[in-house]
Amino acid sequence: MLSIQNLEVSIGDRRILKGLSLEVAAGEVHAIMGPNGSGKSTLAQVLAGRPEYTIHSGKVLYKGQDLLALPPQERARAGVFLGFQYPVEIPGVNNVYLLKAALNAIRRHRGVAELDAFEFLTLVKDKMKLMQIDEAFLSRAVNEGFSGGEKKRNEILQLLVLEPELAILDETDSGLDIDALKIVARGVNATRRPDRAILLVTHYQRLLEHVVPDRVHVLTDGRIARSGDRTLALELERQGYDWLRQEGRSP
Amino acid sequence: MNAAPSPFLASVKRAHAEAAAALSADPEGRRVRSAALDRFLAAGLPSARDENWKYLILRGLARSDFELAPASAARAPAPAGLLTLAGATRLAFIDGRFSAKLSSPRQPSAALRIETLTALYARAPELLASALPLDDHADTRFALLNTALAPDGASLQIEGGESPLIYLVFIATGSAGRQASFPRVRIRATHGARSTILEHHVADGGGSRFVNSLADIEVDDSSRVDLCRLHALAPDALQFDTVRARVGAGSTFALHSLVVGGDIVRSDVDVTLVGAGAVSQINGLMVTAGSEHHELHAQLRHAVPHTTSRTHVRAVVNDSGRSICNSKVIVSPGARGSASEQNFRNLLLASGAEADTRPQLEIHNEDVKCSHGASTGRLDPNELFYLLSRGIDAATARGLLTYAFVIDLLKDLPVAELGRTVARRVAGELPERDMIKDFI
Repeated sequence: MLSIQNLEVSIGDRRILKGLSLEVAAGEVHAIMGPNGSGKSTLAQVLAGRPEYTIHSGKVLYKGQDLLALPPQERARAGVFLGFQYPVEIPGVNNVYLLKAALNAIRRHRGVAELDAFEFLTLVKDKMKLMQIDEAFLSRAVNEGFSGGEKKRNEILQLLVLEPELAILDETDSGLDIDALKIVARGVNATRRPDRAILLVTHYQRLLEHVVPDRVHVLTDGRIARSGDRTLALELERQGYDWLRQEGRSP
Repeated sequence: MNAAPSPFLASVKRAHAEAAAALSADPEGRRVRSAALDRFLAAGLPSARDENWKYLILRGLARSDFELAPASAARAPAPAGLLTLAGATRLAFIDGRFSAKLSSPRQPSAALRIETLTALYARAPELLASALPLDDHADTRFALLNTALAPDGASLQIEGGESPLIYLVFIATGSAGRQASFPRVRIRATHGARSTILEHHVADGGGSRFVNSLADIEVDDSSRVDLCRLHALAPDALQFDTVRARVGAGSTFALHSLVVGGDIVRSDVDVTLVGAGAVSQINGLMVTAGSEHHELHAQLRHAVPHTTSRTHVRAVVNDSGRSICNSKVIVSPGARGSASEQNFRNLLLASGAEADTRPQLEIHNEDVKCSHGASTGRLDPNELFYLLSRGIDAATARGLLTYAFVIDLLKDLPVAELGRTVARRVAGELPERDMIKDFI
């Protein structure tokens, strides 16, 4: 589903990704872990099409298609979703409007009929129940005045409504208490299907207790330093990232 | 300034000479109009030395002339773009002349008198002079032209009670030369009156036009007037506009000024708070397209203690447009316990767009609460990327964020239909299929 080959990316004068390669197959959940500044969030943002980054070399194929050639809105319509680390507040733009406009843009792209207001609200309210989001949400502006946890739950609500094929969740677990973490994990697990892939960018292995990954990758200094199964996350938890850095230096 | 008469001043003189006899039947009326003309000619056009005019002189004001719109135009049909407002009493003017055909029938009422200025002055000729500006300050000088040249206008006398919505329509037709009209509105509200008025300036047909408008308002004795003004002239129109208001004890004057069309639109708003508890609320929105140039100059005078003024202006500047907003709050000696608030925000949507904002305070005593703030910015790239990353197309995303910028000003307009109309105009045609009633 996703094939990243030797990707080199910078922002301003800083080279962040330095030849990153990664393969994610449909149906899989991959966790990307790594210390602060290793390039985890850059990877997530670049995949979603954030314009501030410069791509120097490398390729990203999504379902065989050159992902980097598409503007962000077309990536979204093609089934790529980014759950933001810091979801943006947009006063004056209503949550429901954004959700409906987004869903219908994606449905038009897929060639399926748009939902009318009733069908749409029925769907959204159903997903809101799963994410334990209050009805008052419907009349509020996008993320405006939301707590950190509410913002993250809203990201997952969008994920559930938009049903992407490739979901990239950038530190969706950060800033959540244990109850909110369970709700978010429930939402993520609800989207797991054989034809979808999920990339979890996370700092801690806490989320991985609830969303069990097929593969774990450790990103240090712009490259995948090690890949393994879920036990790698546990090893990291025990030893910390220094363990890998030291190991990387030894012959 | 007093060298060879400019084409503009020559047009003023010619227009007066052509129309004087028809404008006022009585000698006193003719005298007042001639006096206004003489004052305007003696003062001349504002120059670059007049602080608030420095932006416009450069655009060749003195070199432009105009001709008076012929009376025959008053038979034109209604233009597109008029609002459908249930229950409203409509009074329509074409090039400043009353159009019975486009106006709705009026119920005679003791508390609410809606009539033409011609009818008012026939009954009370002395009132023609009462609307003259007290001084010939450059900012209010153009109001003299309304006394000198306006053939007619709207008069609203509201004495107590809540009046139905009043819709004043001023249609400006165009001509190959610059066709001029002088719309004029007079509002008097007393005895606890509550009134909402929509004044709509709209263009009809091609050609070019000069609209010199004046609204003259007194609100007194615990009354409230909400005056919504929609300036939606054609891209080739020049509009000079004066609003003068006096607000008495316990009264509120709320001006909702929405400028969405016109090559040059300049509004001078002068509000004086003359009674304890008087409130001035100015909500201004300017939206330019192309190279349009819009200016709002507001002067708020707190003449007595315990008065309040709030001025909130938003400007959306597109392409190579320019938006200028100056406001000055003057708290007179002795006007203790007064409060004022000035807040301006500009959104620049193109690299060639420009906004100039200047909130000023002139305070002549202590014990006042005055605040002001101004900001100018572009669309937030984070917000834009968030919307794009959800599959929203770029034009809709920009439209949504522009909509978000103006909506807090539009959502509480006393005429909801007006808010919707202007929002559509500002944000472009957002895909309405994605709107769900009550949620946008």
